[in-house]
Amino acid sequence: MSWVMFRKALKDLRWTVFWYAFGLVLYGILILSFYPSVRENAEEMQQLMGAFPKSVMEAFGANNMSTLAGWVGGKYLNVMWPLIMSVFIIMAGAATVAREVERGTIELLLSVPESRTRLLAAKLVALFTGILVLVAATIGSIALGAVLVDETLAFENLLALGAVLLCFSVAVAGYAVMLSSFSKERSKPAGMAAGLTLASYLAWVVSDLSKDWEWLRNVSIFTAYEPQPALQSGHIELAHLGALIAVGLISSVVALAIFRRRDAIS
Amino acid sequence: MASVPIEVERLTRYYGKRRGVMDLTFEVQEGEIFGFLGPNGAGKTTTIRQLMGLMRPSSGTARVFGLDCWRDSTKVKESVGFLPGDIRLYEKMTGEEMLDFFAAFRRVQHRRFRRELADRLGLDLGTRIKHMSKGNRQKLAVAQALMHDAPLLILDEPSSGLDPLMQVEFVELLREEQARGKTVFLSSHQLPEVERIAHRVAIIREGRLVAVEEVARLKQLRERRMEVTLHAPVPSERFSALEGVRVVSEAPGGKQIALAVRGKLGPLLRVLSDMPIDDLTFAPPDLESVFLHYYSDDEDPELSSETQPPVEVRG
Repeated sequence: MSWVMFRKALKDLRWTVFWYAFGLVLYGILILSFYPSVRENAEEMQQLMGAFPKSVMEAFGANNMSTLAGWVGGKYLNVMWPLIMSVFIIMAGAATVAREVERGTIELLLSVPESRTRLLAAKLVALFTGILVLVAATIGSIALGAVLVDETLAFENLLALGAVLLCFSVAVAGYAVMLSSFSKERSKPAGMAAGLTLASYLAWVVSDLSKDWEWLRNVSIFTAYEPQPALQSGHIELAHLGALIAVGLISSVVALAIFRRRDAIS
Repeated sequence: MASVPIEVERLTRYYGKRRGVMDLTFEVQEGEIFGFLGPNGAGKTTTIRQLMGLMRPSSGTARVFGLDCWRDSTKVKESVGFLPGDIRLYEKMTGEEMLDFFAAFRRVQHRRFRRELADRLGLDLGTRIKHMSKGNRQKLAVAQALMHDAPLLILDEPSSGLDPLMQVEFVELLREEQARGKTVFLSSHQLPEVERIAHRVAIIREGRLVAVEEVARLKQLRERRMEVTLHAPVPSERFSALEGVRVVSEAPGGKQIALAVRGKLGPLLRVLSDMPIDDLTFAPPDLESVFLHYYSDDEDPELSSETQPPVEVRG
């Protein structure tokens, strides 16, 4: 990995990461600040939830909202968080190669005595660092929010949640960068990666609605994304996390291989 | 370094079915300034991009100091200072930050030389690139290419965007670099510019190499256009009798004559000095006349639109 490139890529990302982190922290604390009223009306809440079919509630991540983990999961982590993070990751990931090509800076960038692999690896690591900061900000905001509403969250549970959020983000980053590695304009890989993420989400939702579509669970990254059990009890499925990491790392390696061979011209 | 700075052998590149360059073979020797001349779209940038390992040849090889430009491109770039044809820079950086960024990839820093370059080119390195004019961006990119003190400079249309005074300074800089042992490979679509700087030129047209010539020889081959306006008629034979002078056209009445002039100017100027001249224009040399020479026995070349505006000499 090229440290010079890593420093520049990180510097390029710093304000974006800062504002996303700010938004995620604000959102996390806001959601948690409403939890005391939910806690007080736990019984009514359960009844209200019982009115919906269980599968529908699970599909939209809104089950068992009366517990802290259920509330944070349903209102934040299950849908909203991956949505916000996907926007950041897809925009930043799609930019790695395609924006350099689109803006024409690739010619000068590739005139440096550094291999393409090391240059892109540096950009990838910078993106992963940005992701790490945002995951840490999320975990931090949940921990802080819990303290503010007089709840305690086990450190292991927060750590487990961090692992889930991180693995999901790495998977999305992997294919966003891979799609960027052969593109000439940022909008194309960004559109493709967003489409892929949305399709993956829909596949997961549909797979829960009918037995006929259950097989779709196997092709969706959202099947492996389980933040709520992690926060609830510290439970993580290692196989699921492994699958997410594999998607991220394999597509990163493919991205490096493609970038090494492609013509670097706009 | 013992190996030849640039060796190109049967280099061919297609863009799908469209031709890029075909079957190029030439060498650039150590310590020379080598011009790569051709009209826009002839394949100059395609060739340079292959030298820089930005794209892979369809067939043939390009080598820099004995190293393959595609396979060993990282190593190749250690010994090359590069100026792209289409200057696109990181807009958010200042000039200083950009030069720092590109210098950081090299083992040795030449901060004093860089300052000297910036001073000579009149560059304000504190300005953000997005606020720089086209000329200043070009100067910044030139400084970037030169500052590494690399033994080979590959410059794609280096003087485009520079004002005439800065072009003079730039030529001076290149001559100094050459005196320090550097090899320079520069592309251009302007014959006079290449004639001013280079010792040898490769001429490329429609993706194929037309010729590799010494500049001195090229000057003998190409024709320049002269238009003479007289206030009394003069028989055109007085011109056509001179060696290397051809009468292209003559207005009725013999007061306006267009000539094509090749080789030495002295005899023609002596004849002109005795004539009743009202006006005279002498165009700078242009590429088409060179192509005309090389294709005169072959096909009639389709002349491109890059003719030079004539330089006026009023009498």
